[in-house]
Amino acid sequence: MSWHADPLALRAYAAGTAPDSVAWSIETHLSGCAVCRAALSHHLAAEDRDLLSAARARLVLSGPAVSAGLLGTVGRGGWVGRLSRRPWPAVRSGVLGPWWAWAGFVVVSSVLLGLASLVPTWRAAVEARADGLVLLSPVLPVALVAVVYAVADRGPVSDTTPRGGLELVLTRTAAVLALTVPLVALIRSFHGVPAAAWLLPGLCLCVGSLALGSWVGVERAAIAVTTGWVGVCVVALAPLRVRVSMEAVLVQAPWQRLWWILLVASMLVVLWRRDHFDIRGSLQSRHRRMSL
Amino acid sequence: MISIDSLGVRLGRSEILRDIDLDLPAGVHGLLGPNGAGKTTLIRVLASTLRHDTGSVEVLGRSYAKGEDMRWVRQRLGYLPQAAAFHRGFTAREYVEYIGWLRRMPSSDIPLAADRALSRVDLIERADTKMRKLSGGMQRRAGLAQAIVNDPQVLLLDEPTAGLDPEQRVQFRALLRELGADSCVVISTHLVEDVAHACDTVTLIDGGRIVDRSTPERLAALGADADLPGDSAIERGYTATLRVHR
Repeated sequence: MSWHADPLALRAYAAGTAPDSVAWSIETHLSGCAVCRAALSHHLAAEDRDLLSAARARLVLSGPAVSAGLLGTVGRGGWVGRLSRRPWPAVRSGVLGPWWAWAGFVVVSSVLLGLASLVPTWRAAVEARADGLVLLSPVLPVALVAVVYAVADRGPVSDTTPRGGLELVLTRTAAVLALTVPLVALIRSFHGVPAAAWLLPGLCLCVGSLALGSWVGVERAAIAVTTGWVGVCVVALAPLRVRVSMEAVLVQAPWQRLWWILLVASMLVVLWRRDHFDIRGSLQSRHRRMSL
Repeated sequence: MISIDSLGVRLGRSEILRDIDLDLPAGVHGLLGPNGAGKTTLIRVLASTLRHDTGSVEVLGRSYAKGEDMRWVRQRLGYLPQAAAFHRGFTAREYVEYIGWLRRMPSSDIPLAADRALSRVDLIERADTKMRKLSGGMQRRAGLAQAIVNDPQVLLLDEPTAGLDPEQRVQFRALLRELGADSCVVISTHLVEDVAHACDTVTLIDGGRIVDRSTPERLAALGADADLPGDSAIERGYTATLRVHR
């Protein structure tokens, strides 16, 4: 741009007093001249500057509407566009850790289990170990909660945020359950036991580890519950008679009632101790925990 | 905005902090003292990550006794710890956005707020770089950006200028003065220059107790005597005050 608008003309344009011909000329010039647009901003009244600033913020937030109709509703300017401008990638990484590791875990596990069901020799091998898999499956979500706490964000800043307490714990646990329920359903399919029969003990161990976590921290509690359950399974698998009893513990009606009672009790403990997830120990208690 | 009354923190038999009384209004306040004086412990109590053993603390008129009140304050708090840990897969922008989400900002406001915070610490051009690939000074600036993403009413900074080069320190001090116009900014530092150039008040802590409350100007006046040890007047004033109380 080799010329710039006269300051007096710009002032008249900003005030709305410029003749039509001058206004048109200035508008055409402004569309291609950043220097004059900047100069114009100095002549605007404060309320006009605020109005423009608010309009700009709205434009940046809402984005351009691609078109009217269905495309406009779901496209970049519609709900897809609005959702994509939320901080979901950051939240996903902060809550679960590296997304590619979880995606890889689910895909590889599913493919392996799928192949195992198709290839006869693999199927036979998996079926031979199905008892162990079935017994271990309820504790899989708890083990993965421990993994999440090891790999996802756990910095001191998170501990000072309103979402860093119970809300983050529940979000992480729900995300892990959403990832693992389909996998466990596949494992159970080898044994012919409905997935619903696993859900209750699995959920109970999960909520139970959260309840314990209100005292010792969720990561420690998840490790303790996983280790405890694996230990029970190892002992139970040794003599055949006890193994059958363990399967009964998971799926038979009287035991299911006990699982329900434990689940409700764990939920009540989590609710009762909800403020304890907002990490706020004294130096004394931290020192004791460190020296455990 | 911050009111502390007879605060005490113990570890075993030793008192890390004792009889701390402090009222901090809006402005930039420095906590100055030698290593191990208790500055970081005090900042952590204010940031609600550490429970005190005696006395009371009120931030924005609420104590941390009730979980609901604590979460209310945490929403209006910004905190930069001495050693900020973060998920290694985050980009600088994702890190700041994630903390914005944890601070319960409306999700539609977070992307713009994160970019604004990164611009204020002069890191917007590296916003999409992984945190682990940023230099120490840049990681520190990303830490500052997360601390201010929610325009906090109370901002707690623990050794904020560690790792910043001289030019960045000057910019940072200007940012502090801007933030302190309507927020309560508390800086824990052992660098006298930070206090001299950015703070409205200075609280000297030594051995877990407050030994003096002053202003940078008054501290500099105390160090007018060139015979005292120190490179600048305020450094000499700081040394002289500590010696008097030891």
